[in-house]
Amino acid sequence: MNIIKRELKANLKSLLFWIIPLGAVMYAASVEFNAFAGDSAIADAMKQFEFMFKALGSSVADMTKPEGFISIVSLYIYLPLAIYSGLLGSGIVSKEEKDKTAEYLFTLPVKRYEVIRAKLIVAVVYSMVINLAIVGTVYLTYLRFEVSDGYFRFMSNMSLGVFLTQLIFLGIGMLISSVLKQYKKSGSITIGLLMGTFMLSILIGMVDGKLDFLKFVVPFQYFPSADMLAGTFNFGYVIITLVVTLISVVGTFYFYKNRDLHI
Amino acid sequence: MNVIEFNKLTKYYGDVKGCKDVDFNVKQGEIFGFIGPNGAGKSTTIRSMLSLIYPTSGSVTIFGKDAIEFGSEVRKEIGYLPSEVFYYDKMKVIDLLEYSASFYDRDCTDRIKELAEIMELNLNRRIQDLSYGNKKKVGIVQGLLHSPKLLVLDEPTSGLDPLMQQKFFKLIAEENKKGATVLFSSHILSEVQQLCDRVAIIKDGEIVSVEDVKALQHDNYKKFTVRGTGLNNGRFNIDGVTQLVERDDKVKFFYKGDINKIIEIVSKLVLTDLVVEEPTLEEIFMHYYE
Repeated sequence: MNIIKRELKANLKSLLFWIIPLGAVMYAASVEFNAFAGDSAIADAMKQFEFMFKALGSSVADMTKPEGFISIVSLYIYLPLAIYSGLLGSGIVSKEEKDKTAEYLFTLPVKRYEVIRAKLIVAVVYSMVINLAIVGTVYLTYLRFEVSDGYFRFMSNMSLGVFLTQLIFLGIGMLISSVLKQYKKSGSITIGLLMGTFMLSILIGMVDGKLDFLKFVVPFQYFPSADMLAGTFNFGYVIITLVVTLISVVGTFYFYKNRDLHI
Repeated sequence: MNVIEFNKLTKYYGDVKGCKDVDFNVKQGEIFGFIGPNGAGKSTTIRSMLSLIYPTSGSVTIFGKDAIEFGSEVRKEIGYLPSEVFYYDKMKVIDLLEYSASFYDRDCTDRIKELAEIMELNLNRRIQDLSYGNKKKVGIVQGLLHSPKLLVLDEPTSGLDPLMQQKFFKLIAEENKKGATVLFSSHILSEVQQLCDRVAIIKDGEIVSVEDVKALQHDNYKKFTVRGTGLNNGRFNIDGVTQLVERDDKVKFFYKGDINKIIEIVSKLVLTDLVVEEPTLEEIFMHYYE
């Protein structure tokens, strides 16, 4: 419990540094939407750029309606939240060695798995908090427009879709920090991996179906906002997400417990 | 009873030897010195016994339990002071000490205050604002706050001014009197001489010798300085003499053995001066490192 408390405190500032600007951007987007709301001319014009939105992983939706607009800007929810969770996962594990506090912490009467367990709990909780805060902000800020009956359902689907994406990168981040000798680079490696898959995701969207077989290595393609809008979760991808996350977490516990600490 | 038993402890970092076949025991209630130059394998040995790193082969038993398998249990009764202390920079000293205390089953509040007072440590400052010496003081309080039965000190005095060093030594001696066993690693021999009962000497990762500190000084070597004329003729080159330096007017050497043999040689000479001294630990240890 004491480790959880400390980690919650130690990572709170960074959580707020992510939530506040992201929330502000989301609010600004809703102000932007004000101009589109209900304007059919814009809806026609946007159709011309269909390919571009597809490429960016956003859906081609009616952006004169809140759901449609949000699904188009959803990229700005998926990507930063995945980055947050990836960095949190890799950072929370590697930090003790990076800051050289491992020699202090692990000479206390504590088991390594207890430390990792506490860190995992905090990372999952904070991933949830940022998810609810950002998706919640978006949900609330668009309530001032005319929303359809399916609005809440869409937003809660998206929250879950984003959270599953976060979990993958959180798990991978933790695993990288516990396996690699270059624990100092674990953060940048995690982000590199994340941006790499994101670029791949754009590529897959651009070439229109030709690279679909690569989708399974790109978490950003698992739960696209179009699916969230339609209310469907691809069962296979849900399984992949859970399996990858589980393997990463089990791997983290295993490798971190059995290796020498870098001091 | 042995508090620590090293059993052929060996640690390789890949191909690089950290320590090899480390094999000695620390008895209950003693202050045991662990001596060697930088990079000899002291910290590797200590980190293995605290399961920060895992031995390649061999084992360490502490309080009769395997130090790796029962690591967290064993560490309840260990206080550790590393050579370089690093703590969470953003925390206040008192918060860090209370956080440390929260891992033990006893109330340490009074002891923290007491120790902070002795070490003249301000509890309300942030770790990041502390000087190196003050961080070290935090380390001392943190290592002692739970009144551990075993103290493991890895080059503990670096960064402390002489006054604080003496206070610290006094603290260690008090803890020892109360029953704590101490493993004291250092490359400074005088402090080992001051505190320790026995000492293990490590060189290139291997234990060269385990000696009684007092016996080491009294029974072993004597340092001879002979002054006179016409001395440079190899007369002193007998069994038991080491580090012989012969000049015409002065001969210096260390001798271990029957003192009468030296007296016999000396009695035949006309000397201006003869000095027989206890060698310092430094001089004794130089034998092991040549």
